Amino acid sequence: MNENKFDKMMKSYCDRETVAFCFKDNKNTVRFTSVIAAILVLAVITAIMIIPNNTQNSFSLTVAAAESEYVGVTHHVVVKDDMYYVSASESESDDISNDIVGENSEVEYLYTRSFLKVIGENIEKVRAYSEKGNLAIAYFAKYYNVTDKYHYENFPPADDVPDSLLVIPYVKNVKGKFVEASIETWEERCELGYSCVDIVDINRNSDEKFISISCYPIDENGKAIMPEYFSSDCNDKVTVEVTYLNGEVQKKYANITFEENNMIVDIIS
Amino acid sequence: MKKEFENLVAEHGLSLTKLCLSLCNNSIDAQDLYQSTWEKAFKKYRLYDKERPFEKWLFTLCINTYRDSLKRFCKRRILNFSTSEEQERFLASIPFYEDDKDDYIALHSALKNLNREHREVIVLYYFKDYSIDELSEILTIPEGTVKSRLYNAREQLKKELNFDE
Repeated sequence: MNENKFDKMMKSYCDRETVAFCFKDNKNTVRFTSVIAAILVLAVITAIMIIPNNTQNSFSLTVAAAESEYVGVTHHVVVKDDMYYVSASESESDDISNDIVGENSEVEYLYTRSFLKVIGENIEKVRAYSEKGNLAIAYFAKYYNVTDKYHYENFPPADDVPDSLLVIPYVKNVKGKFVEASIETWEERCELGYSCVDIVDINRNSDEKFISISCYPIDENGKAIMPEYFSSDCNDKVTVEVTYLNGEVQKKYANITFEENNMIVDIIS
Repeated sequence: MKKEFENLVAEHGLSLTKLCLSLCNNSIDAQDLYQSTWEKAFKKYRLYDKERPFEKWLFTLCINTYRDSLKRFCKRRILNFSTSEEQERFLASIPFYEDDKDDYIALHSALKNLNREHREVIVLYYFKDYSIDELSEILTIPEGTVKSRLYNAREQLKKELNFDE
């Protein structure tokens, strides 16, 4: 190969003809680029409005995974009072709302690949990761006028997770508080036996609504530091940056504790 | 703001897709990078200086997201999507791929062997014909560093691809 050919090939490699990775829009036909060879996971979400005067909305996520026993299983998502609750059901006619709208509901989730979707007035991100076995996780985020809510339940022990899979540890709803951590922060800081944690919400009972939180531990002088890990039994006071829905960012102190692989972050000031 | 943002996605989506595909080794990771970049752009849009070309700001976000993802992936177990079928599909989107299949496969393999810093600079250089100072701005590194990385990346690629003298 000579230099001229190399230049041409590099140009062609980088400026290839391709279909853009699209957002899904209810009004238009969506085209996604072809994905996944090893484990094929395709998630389709449709929004279903229930009774107009009911505060509940729900939509279904149907996941097809080539190697998953959850092929064809529909996961219903119910939104009530700005909270998302996800439950797996094999029948769309199952009335699941009473079962899953609760603080300690046991739900199962299915992983799938992430994609970004625009539904009506909201941009929603659906991200889940396929997992071999009996467990799956999905979470839904809205970045437009509502809080982010996630549920993760019944995660497998670390030993059961195949080496080739991306793992998100579960974060459990504990006594009305939802636990949150940033996937970009905790994966370098948390040693829970998993690679990373993901964002949920903090202080559900608070009037404050958050978009995302990044956590930095602080030392005895109150200075924020970023160690490699938190040990699973550590109880630290951390500084958190809270991004509010109006875009304002504030630093606050928070206590973090761990209970049975749950990480709890309590903002204290 | 949402409508404005959607227009930006429509205008710059394809460019960003191409960049993501060139940075990543497979279309799955490229999709994630694409999505994460737009997510960040949406969150940070209020911080965007409208005096600055949007595409360069977007590409800077993309590069930073790419760097962060590499840092995360080196510490976690990841799903491997780089099968031969996926690679074939991935390469098929390159113009003239069918004409020079072996050479493109060799190029793709050589690019995969570049480290992150070299890959970033050489992909951006060929993608948009950016000048050194433009690359410096997007990559947030000094111009001298851009030149040095570009030179080293090309030298490594020349060596791997057995350039004719």
